[in-house]
Order: sequence, then C-alpha cells, then structure tokens
Amino acid sequence: MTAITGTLRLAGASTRQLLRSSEVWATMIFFPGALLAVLWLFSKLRFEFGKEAASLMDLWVTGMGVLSVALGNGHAFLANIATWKAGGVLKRISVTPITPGQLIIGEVIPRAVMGMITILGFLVVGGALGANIRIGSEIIAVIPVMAMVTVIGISVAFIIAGLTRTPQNANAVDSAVSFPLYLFTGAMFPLSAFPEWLEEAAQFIPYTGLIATVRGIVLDGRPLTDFGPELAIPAAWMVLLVLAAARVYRFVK
Amino acid sequence: MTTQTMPLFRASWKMMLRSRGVIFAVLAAAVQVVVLGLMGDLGFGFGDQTLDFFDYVLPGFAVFLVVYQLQDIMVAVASSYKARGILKRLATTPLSPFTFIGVQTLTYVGLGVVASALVLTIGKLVGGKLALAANLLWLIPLVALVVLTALAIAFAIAGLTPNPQTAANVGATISFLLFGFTGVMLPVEALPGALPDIVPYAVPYTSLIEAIRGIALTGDSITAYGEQVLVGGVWLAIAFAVAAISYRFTEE
Repeated sequence: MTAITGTLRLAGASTRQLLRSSEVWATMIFFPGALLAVLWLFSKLRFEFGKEAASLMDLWVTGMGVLSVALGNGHAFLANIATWKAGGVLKRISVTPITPGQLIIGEVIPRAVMGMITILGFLVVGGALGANIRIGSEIIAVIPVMAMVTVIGISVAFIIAGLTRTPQNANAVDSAVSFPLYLFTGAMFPLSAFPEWLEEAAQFIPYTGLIATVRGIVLDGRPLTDFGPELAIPAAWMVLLVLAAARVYRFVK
Repeated sequence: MTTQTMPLFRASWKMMLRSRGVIFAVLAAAVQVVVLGLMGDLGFGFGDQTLDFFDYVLPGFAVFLVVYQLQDIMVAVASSYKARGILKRLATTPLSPFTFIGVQTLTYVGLGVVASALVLTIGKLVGGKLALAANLLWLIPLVALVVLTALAIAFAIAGLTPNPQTAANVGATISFLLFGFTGVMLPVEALPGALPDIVPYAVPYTSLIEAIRGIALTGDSITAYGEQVLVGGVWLAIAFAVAAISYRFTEE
C-alpha cells in the first residue's frame, strides 16, 4: 500500500467517524441551521450608521456564518489534536506503519472539505431565504477564500494545541481567541461603525479581509481579483501560522 | 445548619472566583460592552422605526452575557455531577445535596447580580443613556430572577441529557436560541406577524429583559412592569419544576 493510498483510506475512515459524531452534526448542520432560521425571522432588521444601512441578514450570513462555521470546525479539530497530544497518540502511531503525518492529513482533509461544504451550503440557503447572495459563478470564486479560512483555522488549532498542556486549557484558550474575532472582524457589526483607528487596526486580523472578500464577491458581484489588499494580509498570516504550527505542535515525537 | 452553610458559601465563592471560566465570562462581558459603546452612531432600523443600538443592547447584554456563561458553566457542572455520581456520594455525608447545590446556586446568583451591575456601570461610563434613579435598585431582584431561571434550565438540561457532551451541545443550542429571541440584542418588535406578541410569553427571560430595559433606560418603577415580572415568575416556576423532575438532586 502506497503512502497516498494509506492516507486516503485514513481520510475515508475519519470522514465516516465525523459523520457519526453528534458534535459535527451540531456544529456543521444544526447550529448554522438555527442561525439561518433566526436571520430569516429578523430579515426586516437592518443596521444604520451615518448615511449607510446594511441588512442584518446580508451582514450575518456572509460574516457570522463564515466565521462561526470556520471557528466551530477549528474548535472541534482542536479537541482532537489536543487529546492526541495529551494521550501521546502520535508517539504511539510513530511505531506503526502509519506515520503521524498521515494520521493528521487523514483528519485534516475531511474536516477541511466538510467545513467548506457547510459554508457554501450556508451561503446558498441564506440566499434562498432572502439574503442578497448571488448564487452563480460567485460561489465558485468564494472557494479559494474558504480554503484560506480553513487553513488559518486549522493552523491556529495546531498552535493552541502545541502551546497548551491539556485539552481543557486548549479549549479555554480557543474560546478566548475566538471571542474578539466576532467583534472585530466585521462578522457581526459593520466595521465602518467603529472609530477610524479601530477600523484600520481591525484590517490586520486574519479573518477581516477574508470576510470582506466573501461579502464583496457574493453581495456585490465583484471579481476575486478586486481584493488584492484584502487578501494580502490573510495570506501573510496564513504563511506565518502554518510555519508556527509546524514549529510548536510536535507532529513527530 | 448555619455552621455548615456559611463555610460552604465562603468555599463556593472562593472556588468561583478562582475559576477561569467565571473570570473570562465577566471580563468578556465588560470588554464586549466597551466595544459596543465605541459604535456610538450605530442604530437598528425596521420598517420606519429606528432604535439607538447601544442603548437598546446595553441593558440586555449586561444581563445576558453573564447569564449565558453561567448557564453554560452550570450545565457542565451539573452534568458532570450526574455522570460521576457526586450527589450520591454526598448523600452519605452530613452535608445534604440540596444544601450543596443551593449554596452553589445562590453564589452564582450573587455573581450574576454583581457582574451585571459592573457591566451596566461600564456601559454608562462609555456613553450608555441609563437613568440614574433609585428605581435602578429594582434591577437586583430582576437580574436575580433571570439568573435563577437560567440555572434551573441548566439543571433541567443536565437532567434530560445522557452525558456531559450532549448536555453541552444542547445547552449551547438553547443559549443561542435564547440569544436570538429574548430581545437581548435583536428587537422582538422586528419579528414578523404575530410573533412580537407571542414571544414575550413563549420564551423565558424575554419579559424580564423587557422590564430590565425599561427600568434601566427610563427609571420607571417595577410596578409599571407587573405583567412582565409575573410572566418571568411563571417561567422560573416551570424551569424549577422541570429541573426537580428531571435532575436527581438526591439519589433515592
């Protein structure tokens, strides 16, 4: 059996495990569904700031939906890898024909694919329920952005798992890191409602540019190529976070 | 009784203040209110109505952000007691499980009231238009009523679910739905059809949040909110009854 076949079989096994897990159904199906139901009921509500106005549904489907699915996925992934670390699973795996790298890739692939499918599904259903989402080629253009969201989320999970000693501590740190993201990335509130200094500082958070890009593509129909500056900061973050993850999480003992 | 209860209160208070989750809950609520206060020009609009965003959300957030976290913590604690048979073991000691849980619950109620007062004070300092009147003291029993209801719901969730993991998932879902429909942040009046008339009766806390917001913003007396307090009291009784039936406080 080649390494690739072995990894794919592991990914298949992980996918089956994930589909059986109630936590995955809760974070990938039930919670996004409940959020969409709430937004549908509040579809008349809008934020007003200065002379501008933004529909709550448009803002939250493209912001909170993207962020909560990404963070929910990362949170569940973190629970796994923190437990692996605490239980010395990778150390034990390294004496079997499977390498720790294969085990991790086998877990990352289904998580990443499921996260992306959920976010795309969320946008499509949000559009069907009344959000001004363009459901066409725009959805395809969103895929690379979602891939960046997923890589960043998973890298952060590895870093937290690497820096903390127990799964409980990892969970607490993850909650502390996630909380400001809802406030400062524009996921819940329009950034232009903040003072200018805060609005500018928020651009340096990895998810801010990605959420702005998703909004620009699916709400305004702008091409992905319009978002060079918005994507440059998250791209730099992505490289830094992947390198940091490789350094702090002991992939091989 | 008192010789047992007072040291237990002190121990519960100390344990609670040492808990990272509790400290995070209070700090997160305070920070969130400061951030919301920075968006001074933000408003809510629906139809031809406009509301000032910060004034609307401040009283609700002051209560709910803390209550949400306390409910979450109590779901974890109660389901873990159940899974590990803590109350069964406690029943063989001179301390009754009722006293143990009662003291813990009252400690959380005290924390909820103090934390809500802190968040409201911070909100006022960053620009919230609270009415500084003696009637604000009515917020103490009202916040206590919300926290008690939340803790009773937490025990009901722990009692009705098979293990701590399921309890946590169910608890998070219920908290999210409560966040959506209690008027904490999203105005109930913006709901479609007959829902604005139904939701205050059908969803726990909604009527109490309405009373808290009214008193905090206008300085009205609690007597102006008799119906809301009554509805809140009925919800507390329902939550207590479900908790008492579903959660085995004594393993007899």
